[in-house]
Amino acid sequence: MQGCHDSPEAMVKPKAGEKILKVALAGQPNVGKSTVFNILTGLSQHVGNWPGKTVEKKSGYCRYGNHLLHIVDLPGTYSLTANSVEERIARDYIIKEKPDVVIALVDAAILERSLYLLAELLLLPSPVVLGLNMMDVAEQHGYKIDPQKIQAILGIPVVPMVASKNQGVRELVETVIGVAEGSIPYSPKRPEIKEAHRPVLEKLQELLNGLVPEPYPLEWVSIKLLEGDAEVTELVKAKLGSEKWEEISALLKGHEDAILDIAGGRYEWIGKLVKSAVERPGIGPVTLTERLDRIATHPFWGLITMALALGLVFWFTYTLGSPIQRWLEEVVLASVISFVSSWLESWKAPALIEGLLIDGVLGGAGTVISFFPILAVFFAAFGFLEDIGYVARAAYVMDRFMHWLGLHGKSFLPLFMGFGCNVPAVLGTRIIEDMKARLLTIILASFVPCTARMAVLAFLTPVFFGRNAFLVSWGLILLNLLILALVGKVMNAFFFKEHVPFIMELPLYHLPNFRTIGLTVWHRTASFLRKAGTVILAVSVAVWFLSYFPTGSAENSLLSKIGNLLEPIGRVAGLDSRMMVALITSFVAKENAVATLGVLYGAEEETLASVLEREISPESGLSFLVIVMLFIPCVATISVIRQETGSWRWTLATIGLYLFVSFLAGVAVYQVLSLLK
Amino acid sequence: MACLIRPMSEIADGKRVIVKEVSGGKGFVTRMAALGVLPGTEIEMVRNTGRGPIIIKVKGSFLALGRGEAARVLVQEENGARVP
Repeated sequence: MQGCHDSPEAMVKPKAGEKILKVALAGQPNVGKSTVFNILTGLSQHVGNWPGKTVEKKSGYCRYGNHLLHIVDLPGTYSLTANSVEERIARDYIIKEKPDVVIALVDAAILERSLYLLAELLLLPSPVVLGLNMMDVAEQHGYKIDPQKIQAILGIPVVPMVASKNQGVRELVETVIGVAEGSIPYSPKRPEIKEAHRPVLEKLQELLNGLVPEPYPLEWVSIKLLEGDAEVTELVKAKLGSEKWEEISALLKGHEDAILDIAGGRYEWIGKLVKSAVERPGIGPVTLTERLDRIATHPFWGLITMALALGLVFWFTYTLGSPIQRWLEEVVLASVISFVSSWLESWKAPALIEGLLIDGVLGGAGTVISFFPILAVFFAAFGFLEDIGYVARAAYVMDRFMHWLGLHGKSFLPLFMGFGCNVPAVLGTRIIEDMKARLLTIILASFVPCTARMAVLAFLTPVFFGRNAFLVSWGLILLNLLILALVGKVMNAFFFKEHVPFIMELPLYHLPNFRTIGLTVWHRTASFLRKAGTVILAVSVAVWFLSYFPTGSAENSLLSKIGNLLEPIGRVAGLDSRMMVALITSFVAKENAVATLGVLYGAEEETLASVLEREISPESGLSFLVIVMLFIPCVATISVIRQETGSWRWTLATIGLYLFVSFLAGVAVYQVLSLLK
Repeated sequence: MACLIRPMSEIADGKRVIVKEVSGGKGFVTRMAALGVLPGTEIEMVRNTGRGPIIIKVKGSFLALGRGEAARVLVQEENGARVP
């Protein structure tokens, strides 16, 4: 939209005479919040975490006329209870940061349900502007909505919108400014608790008057107490002291059923509003969503649909992403390397510098970065399925199978993302509310073979197995998934016994919004590139140092000494010291396994493939592949595991688990094959 | 037997029912209420295959629920709702 300029956050400073407005964007999941946020803030978005939480915080700026709007995207939540971290963050932000205006975005096609959050927002002190999004979808469903009437009944400004077509966004901004300036009237009519519990609420407010800690509103605290909100209960208890609390507590005990009257009161309020402002078809037509779901959620056809959809994601990724990746690696990276080395030669740089730049920086981190196109295509394809609303169906279909692992359908999505790269898979577990299920998913995620490991398979299986390479590759991928299931089953039986509730909305299908998909792809790949530029770069250089010192040749280096030390362990699995070193370097990035073998087997005159074919027996080769596929997650993944679990203990336990499982499988494969020989 | 109160997990595809009770902890009750599932609400069973999760339509939105969760929601078939 015009008037909103894209500019990085650091550069945004209010111009002379410009007014800053703090605006919070609230809404339930799937109401098109990110589309609106993207239009408003463009590339000025700053993505980080809420302080001390692993919940994404997005903020950005929008300039309009004489105003600079600082917009914070609150986490998408259905309500504002203390049940989830996201809900606490959203309400704490509004109560403590006191934004000038809160935008409540609702889906007009699911008006009743999505107005529930508005009912909660109106109890908080900031003025609220209602954005009625997806008016087009509502119309297709046969609803006739009168925004004027809603505005009159609610007493708050209402803006009809179709954000996916950029309709109504400008009006939304103008309304927000108008409310903040006081030029648009604001006198909200709030929902009330049902008749039966009204006296109790009044009594409670009387008792608490003057005792509620700043900046919490009295009425809100009273209602939350009646709802049995754990956080607010603790807050009031601490403030009041035991004697006064006893009185409150006794009052609350007699009215534990108040929860339903509060929620019921809100839906009654919504019901009245909808009744007079919305015309509905008697029996709604069978919607597109219902028609598509007859197939997509069918117990049999649903599985077929899912297999097809995910198969397409892979096909797309490898037919489009792989050639670009190869081009980046073989043409771009190779010419950068030859350019840098001739430049270094021209001023006779010492071998140390040359090795560091060429083998350490470009060979290590550079190769990892060349995987960027594969990831970008994978995320674009996955983001497409996410945006049109399909992904939740895949989760539903997979729920039955995930239950076997003590997980539920939602865990399937991050695990599937792992086929692209394990880093976003670990980050993607944020959609799982239950902490234990999330932890288990994080631990299991790295058993999903990522594109880097697929690349190792693609190179090494033809070397060891010739014509059977394809079969062996499939077998190895299946082995990984089988082990994922097995480890999940065992961990679930011993450590995570609790039942994990599965409650998930299946959003209505809609046409894709390519701007939203593009930005998602950008955020996901950018976090990968940041990792490649920092953690992976540092570790690549460190490993290169180990392979260079003290004599400058890989064969006599510290790294090969480590390899020799480990050889006795490796021997049981059929690996020599060079293969052990290759394994260690695969910790930086999985595809390093091949590069290191190249260095250590000294493939100069003949190709690496023919050297390996001659020097490594098939059973050792298979054992090596099994171990590479199951080995410790790469350093980037480890660093996000640490970040997301917030615990070194779990991170180290994960490393230990993968070390144990990979060698166990490698030894088993090698020993059995040797016996059969 | 039309007015029998049963767990939602036992309702067949296409049936419309009224929620009578949501049993469970406060967390579960408030969460379900926020999603529109609370006593007095009309619900349509969209998919119940006898095992695995179910799908319901409530207040215009589609919701997938695990079997365990569905069993904790007690419902009454609509024609029976008028009988006191």
